[in-house]
Amino acid sequence: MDFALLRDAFWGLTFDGIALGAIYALISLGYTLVYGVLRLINFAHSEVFMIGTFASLVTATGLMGVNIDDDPRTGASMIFTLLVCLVIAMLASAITAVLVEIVAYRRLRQRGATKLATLISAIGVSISLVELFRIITDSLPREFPRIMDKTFLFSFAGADIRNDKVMVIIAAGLMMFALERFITKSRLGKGIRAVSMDENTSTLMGVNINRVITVTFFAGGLMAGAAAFFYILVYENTSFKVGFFLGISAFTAAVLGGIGNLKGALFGGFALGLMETWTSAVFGTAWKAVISFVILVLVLLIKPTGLFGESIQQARV
Amino acid sequence: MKKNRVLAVVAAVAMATSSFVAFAPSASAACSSKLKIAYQGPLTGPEAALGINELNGVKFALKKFLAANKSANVDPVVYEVDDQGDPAVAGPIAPKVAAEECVVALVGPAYSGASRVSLPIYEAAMLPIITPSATNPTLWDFGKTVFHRAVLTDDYQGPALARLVTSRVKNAKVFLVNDATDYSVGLAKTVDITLAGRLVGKDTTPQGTTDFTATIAKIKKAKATAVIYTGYFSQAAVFVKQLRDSGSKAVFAAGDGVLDAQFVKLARKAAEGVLLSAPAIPMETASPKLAAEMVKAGWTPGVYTTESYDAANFFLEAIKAGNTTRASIEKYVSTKSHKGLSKTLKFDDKGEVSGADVNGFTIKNGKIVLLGAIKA
Amino acid sequence: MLKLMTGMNLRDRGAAYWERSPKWRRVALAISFIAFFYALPFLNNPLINTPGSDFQSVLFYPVGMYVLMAVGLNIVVGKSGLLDLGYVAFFAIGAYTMAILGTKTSLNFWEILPIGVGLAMLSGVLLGSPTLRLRGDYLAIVTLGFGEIVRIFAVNTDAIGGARGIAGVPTPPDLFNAKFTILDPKPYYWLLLTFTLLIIWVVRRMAARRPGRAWDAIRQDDDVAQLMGINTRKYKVWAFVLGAAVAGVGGVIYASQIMSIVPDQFNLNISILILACVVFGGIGNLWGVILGAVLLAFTPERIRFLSQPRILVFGIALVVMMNLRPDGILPKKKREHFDPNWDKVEESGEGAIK
Repeated sequence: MDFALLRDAFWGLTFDGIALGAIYALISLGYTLVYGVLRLINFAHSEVFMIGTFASLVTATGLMGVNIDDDPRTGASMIFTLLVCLVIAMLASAITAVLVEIVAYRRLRQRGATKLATLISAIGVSISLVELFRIITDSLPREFPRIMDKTFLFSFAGADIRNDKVMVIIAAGLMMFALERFITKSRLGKGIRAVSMDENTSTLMGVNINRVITVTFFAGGLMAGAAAFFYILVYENTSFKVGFFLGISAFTAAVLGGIGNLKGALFGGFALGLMETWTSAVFGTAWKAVISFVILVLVLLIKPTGLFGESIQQARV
Repeated sequence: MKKNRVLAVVAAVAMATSSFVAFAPSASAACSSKLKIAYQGPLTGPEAALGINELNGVKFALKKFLAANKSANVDPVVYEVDDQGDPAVAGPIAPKVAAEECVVALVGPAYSGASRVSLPIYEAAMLPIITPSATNPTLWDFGKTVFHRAVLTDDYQGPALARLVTSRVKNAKVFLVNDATDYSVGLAKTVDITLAGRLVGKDTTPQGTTDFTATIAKIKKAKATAVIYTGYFSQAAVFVKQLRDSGSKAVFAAGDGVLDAQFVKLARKAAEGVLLSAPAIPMETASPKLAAEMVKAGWTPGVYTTESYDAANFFLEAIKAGNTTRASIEKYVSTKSHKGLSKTLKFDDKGEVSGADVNGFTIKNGKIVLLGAIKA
Repeated sequence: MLKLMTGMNLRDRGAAYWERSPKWRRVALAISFIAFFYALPFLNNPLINTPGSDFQSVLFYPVGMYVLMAVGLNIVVGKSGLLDLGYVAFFAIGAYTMAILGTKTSLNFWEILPIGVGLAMLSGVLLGSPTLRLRGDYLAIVTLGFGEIVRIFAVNTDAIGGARGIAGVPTPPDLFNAKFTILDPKPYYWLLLTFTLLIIWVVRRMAARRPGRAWDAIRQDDDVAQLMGINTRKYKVWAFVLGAAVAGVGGVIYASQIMSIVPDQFNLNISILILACVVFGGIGNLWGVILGAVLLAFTPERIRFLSQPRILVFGIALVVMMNLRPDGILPKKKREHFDPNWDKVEESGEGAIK
């Protein structure tokens, strides 16, 4: 147990933890949105994320013509390339999420099937997508070209602040803000909140359930797609199984914050990112996952509805 | 009513006994067709590149043998066993291979974990094996009769890897990382012992780790000038990239699990200058003539091709000498010696060879370059 | 349309036939049925042969093992409605007990078996007591966490083998002239089959008595059950512990057959697969669950010739199956309402909308 390392490298670890947490937060928003509206754990969400990473990759190397060995781009060209990759990743993930809803969940939902049946269907989708990409990539990981040069902006109390991670934190924050505006202010957002409160009454009040649910999946997918792009920008690497590990962490984050609660998902994401980084410094990287699970289990035993415990309908984002 | 009852009981009894009779019992006859050489290793999945390299070595050996011995009763097609380098996959497949009467010899398994699981089965079936690349030193325990190894174990590779680093990095302060797999932990242990006072820190990053932040923080804190990673290439690529991105200039070194063209492809610029060790010799170095001949035959030699070529040839030599059963082939390879390209294969009583080097490699301008044998 | 597909539900037909049969017919049917399963390893039919892997091995694992575990999980999920996503942990505990005690002590399989089962049951109590008051999804998450914790703990702890696992697990001693070697899965299969039949018998007995009724009540509505005076906590833990015991038995047998275990074998995928067997076959329905387990365990092996896309096909099949038959192949039918004169029901006019 190396507490000395945590103390000495604290700010560096914290900064990295926040960057990782930003990615987790974005993914966990998707889990929480779907749970709030459907009371369903969307097992396939991790693959929505994975597809976003591949969409970024294909866009960068295909559409934007970046070659793996190219030097990083600069200026307007760089910004443009990054933006295009981001947007396409978000759209790809969002469309995947909606397709998943239509193929795997809609019918079961309309027939009032049991939770378990829907869960198994979700798992089936997850397995199918993972396998599909495993076959496509021949089980090999893929690297992402360096579009933006990674430089250290400045040093803060011993921590080296890197530009790409700063960008991720800021961009993620903007996304979360935009989502919050959408949920509280827009008409569709209100519909989402209404359905998460009471589906039957919402229908009676004229809310188009199918449309709301589609939008919910779409929004969650957009966030996951953004997370996917940020992930591949920072780690420059993806594979068919990248969804699994991140999905479990993000899901833990959502539960930690209180599943169904947007603010909880954000908090949970950052909290988990920090916790994972700190504990791997103290206990070693190998124990990271256990610590996270143990924390999760403890939270659930003490306060099962998570740290924030309220549901999306209260709209206290 | 009574008639019905009698009828039903008779029917039930008939059904029960017919269950045993009507099913054809699985026959276990001796091989009635050509003898088969098998190869076991990862042929699909992320480690497939290595498996295919070794398989090609076996194929090349077989082709040459049959060209020179046209009347030999050996199947021109290698019996391929794909275990994906994964013990969980190898376990269920091995009994089937063992039950194949015509498979009289097996080159492989390529990976230590898969070997550990498959060996008890092959031992029980008396199927002789020569592995060209499984380097974990404890494998003989699982198959005392049938196990043979055509490479040096990690007992040799570990110290060699350590020496490779300490000889090239002055006053090296080494940080050691493993990935918790069979192979990795074993190799790390022997590296550790050799490093002695030069070791400044250790960490474990299990498979699936994508974020090496904490490990890198440790490395920086310990002011390590070299990092030795004893895992496999895909994770090594992610690790070394993050290491370089964090600003660290520590030399990165790894064992034969990372010696793969894919590593260079994934790590790109971060791969420059990486040091690698392997108890393998490239075919181009061992015999440029044969390497060229192999390319002409349609296969490009890769890592461990030479060793699997030698292993296959040893088996074929046994068959040529008139041995056609598993037991007799096993006896042949256990007692005789075979002059191969990589070394002379003469197995001691634990199935190990001697008299070879561990080689050092580095990556220069995006290519894997042989540095030469690592001196003791 | 669905009614047409199965007419009056296959299960009801079967149940009706059974109810109608006099005792001797029941006995005859039972005997031939059981005999068939004991004879299964000798079956050599191209229709059900598994290319690429040994049929007899496959019968033992995954088919036989999944059936056993599905029966166990059915008690927890199917009968009591407790969503357990970490069932593989109990399987792992059984296997590790066998591996550690088998390699470090001189106890043999039969002596280790009760210890392994006992430890699994103890874990069931330890895990269940604090968590079973959580509802639905939360329980699922906690159990999922527990399953992963057990696996990662095993990977990181060198004392029990670490990531390399434990090898050289001894096989059971000879029994009635049957030799338990690694080459011949048949004795293991028969051992497993015997235990499975035993457990099915025990479960059916319990289901008919008070525990079974308590579980039914809990599954249907936990709060109402409590109000009716049922000690839900006690029965929930019972269900959990019983399920854990079953998995423990499976784990001990598994380790002694395969002779070496690695912690990564006991992963989330297996928990999910067993759960899929239970849901797929028909939650709560014992025969449905067994059928589901057989299908889900056997099919990937059977289509191994597809090799590359076979798991993909499996995933798609799960989705299709759930969408078409969400209640499973043989959904549960409330036994209490079963009327032996079902084919005469229309005359009573029951259920008609007046």
